[in-house]
Amino acid sequence: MELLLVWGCLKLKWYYSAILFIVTLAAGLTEFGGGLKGEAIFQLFPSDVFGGFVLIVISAVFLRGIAHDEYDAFFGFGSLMLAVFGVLYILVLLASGLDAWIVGEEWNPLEYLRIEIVLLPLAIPGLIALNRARKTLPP
Amino acid sequence: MIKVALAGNPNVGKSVIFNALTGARQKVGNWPGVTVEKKEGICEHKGKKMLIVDLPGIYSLSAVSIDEKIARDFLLNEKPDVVVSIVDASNIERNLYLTLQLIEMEANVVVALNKMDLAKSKGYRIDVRKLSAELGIPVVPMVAIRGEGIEELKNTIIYASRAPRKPVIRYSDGIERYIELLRSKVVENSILPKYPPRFVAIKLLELDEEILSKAGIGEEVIKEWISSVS
Amino acid sequence: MDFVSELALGRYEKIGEIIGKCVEKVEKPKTFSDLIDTVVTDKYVGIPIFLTFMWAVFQFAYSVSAPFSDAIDVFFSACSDWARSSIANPQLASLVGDGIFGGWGFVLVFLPPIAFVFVALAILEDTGYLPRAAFVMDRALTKVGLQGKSFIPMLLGFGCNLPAIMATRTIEDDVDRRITIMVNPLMSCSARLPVYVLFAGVFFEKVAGAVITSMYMLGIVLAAVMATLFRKFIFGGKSSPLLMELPPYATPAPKSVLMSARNRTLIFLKKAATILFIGALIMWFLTTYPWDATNGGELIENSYASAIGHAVEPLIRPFGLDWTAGVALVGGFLAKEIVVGTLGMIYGVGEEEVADVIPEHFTPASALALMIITLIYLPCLATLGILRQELGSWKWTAFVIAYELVLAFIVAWIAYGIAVGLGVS
Repeated sequence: MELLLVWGCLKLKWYYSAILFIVTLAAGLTEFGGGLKGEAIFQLFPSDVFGGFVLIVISAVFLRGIAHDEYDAFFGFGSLMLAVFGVLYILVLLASGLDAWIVGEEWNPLEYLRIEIVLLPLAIPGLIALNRARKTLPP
Repeated sequence: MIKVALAGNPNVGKSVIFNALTGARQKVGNWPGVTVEKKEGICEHKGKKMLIVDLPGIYSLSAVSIDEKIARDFLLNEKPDVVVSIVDASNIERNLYLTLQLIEMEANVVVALNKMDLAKSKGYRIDVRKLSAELGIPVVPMVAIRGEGIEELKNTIIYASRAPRKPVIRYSDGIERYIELLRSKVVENSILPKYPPRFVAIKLLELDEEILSKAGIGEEVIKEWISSVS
Repeated sequence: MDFVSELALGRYEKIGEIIGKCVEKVEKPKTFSDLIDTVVTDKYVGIPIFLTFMWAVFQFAYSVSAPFSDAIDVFFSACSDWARSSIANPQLASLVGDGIFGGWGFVLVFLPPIAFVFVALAILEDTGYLPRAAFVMDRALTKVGLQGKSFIPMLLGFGCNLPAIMATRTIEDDVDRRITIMVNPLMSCSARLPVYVLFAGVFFEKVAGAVITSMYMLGIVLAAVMATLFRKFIFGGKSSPLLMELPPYATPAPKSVLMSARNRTLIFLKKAATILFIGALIMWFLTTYPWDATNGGELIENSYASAIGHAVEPLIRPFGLDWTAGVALVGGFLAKEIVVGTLGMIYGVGEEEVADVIPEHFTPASALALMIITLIYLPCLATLGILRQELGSWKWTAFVIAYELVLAFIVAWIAYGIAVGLGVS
């Protein structure tokens, strides 16, 4: 209940959760399908089954939030997961660059640009809300 | 050198306190005969040197698990000058159980009441002075990760080593009757004279395997003594 | 009168008395940790969330550590080349170049992934998430004869089975502990990964990632099955209930994380590296001697290793595997990291070229069989040592070896049959 007071308008988070649910579910299903077929989605993003699975789970978290009293928690945590994986794939991208330099191969960063990285900015509102909760509530 | 043991439940901040006391002067090894980690360190304060030994995190001194055995053996055999019982203030009921057992053992106990900030945020307000009076031993409030209370703890350890307090905490009359009974038997028969008689009495009452075998007494004997009163 | 409980009660009564006098409770507000726990221990999404974090750990450990592994590989290959070209005495050159630098190189290449696993694990630990994960997995784990506390050792097993088995000491119940230890080797340790990477990369290119993960999944499934069987037929009883405390969540401190990872990596390095290094030397010796017969290590067919491989061959021919695979598998007993390196030595090629030579000796189906056998057949020597120590007797250790060998053959046989049937030859 306190969290609602912490971040202004209460319905806003609910709607945003719904949007995130749809977006991540769509991304997840596409990546999963792409992973099964072994091709890049939209000819742009490399994909694999597990990346797709992760996105589907994240969408499930948002979905669960929509149907739950404590949806702030699910909204915040789902965003956190989105952020974690976005950052993770950025690290993988950077590591591949470092690797190419060490081994002396060509490096095409676009080959490692995954959809999770693109979705990363969407996580920001949720992260802000989560951080505010962390500061105002007792541990 | 003052020999100090750090005892407490897991997750009470024992490592933080250990590190704060010993800094870089630590040594990590194994407890003899087992693969459990043993940490020792030196702490120098006001010209006094303290040897700090970090005991494994345990919930009680029943000597069932390896960690408990290690802690108990150390306390009984090495007889540290001071035992710091680290208590999580936000979980005080469960944590004090071990403290009581240490007092039973007649160890020279100092309570480090850690995580005071957490307790406060959970809504607890603790009267440290009263607690110290009730337990009969010094209590040092601390927030170890912020470094609060460390100096006080060092002072208290040194003070306790000079003026040890061995309070007796009595339980309900019903139980005390049996404890008293066994205690007199222990004294009469000089059972394990190296250990405090009340401690031995309580352990015999609990039919503690280790103590029974060390004393060379069987369970039936204890049961006999007990029934002779009721 | 039961005095044990009487005394416990007595102590708690006393504590209650003291607390009553000294502690006052003001209204308890809802905490941040409670908020997170609502999500993380949710009965629907709790387990999937945990699975995604496990996936994150391994992505982190293997992909992000890759440049470091490659750096080590490049360095040791250079040393190896230098040794072989600069040292006059051919036997000494081979010893230093292939045996020492080659051996070290192959072993140390796997240090970065292991170190990264420990880093990720430390992060999870410090945030306070792990006890929640154990709690969430407890229900699922009790259904297969394990319990929540088994979860951390099983998870660690993906890094290395040795510290994982040591971690089972947190499980109080003896039976629970035994079962966890006995199925732990089925959790595919990081040393087996190179085998999967190599063969999946060569034969299953596009779906290599999926194949590799399937090996891990297979290990998990087999562990669940074997644990259920052990519980049912050997031990009986039920898993003990999980009693654990949930510490509040916290932001992980970088120093603490790094120290924890460093300590664990050092322990692993100390225990395993010596054995691995000796193992690599032994493999070098077996593949290079008798010196004259093999002409300084060129004609591996004439070496001691080859003799051993041929002796083993009849056992694995049903899976389309030849004596070279036999030698590699025998090497895998010493340490799984050696399997790929041994193949390299046998085919007389460097690590980059091994992939090219593989198709001459394997088919997709037999590659699958080899991967499965590697997953199941034997724990490595170091793990065997710890098994003996933690299980407490040779009888049980022998039982573990026996069931794993049998299981390996059965599963490989089934998989090979299916693969051939599907025309994957």
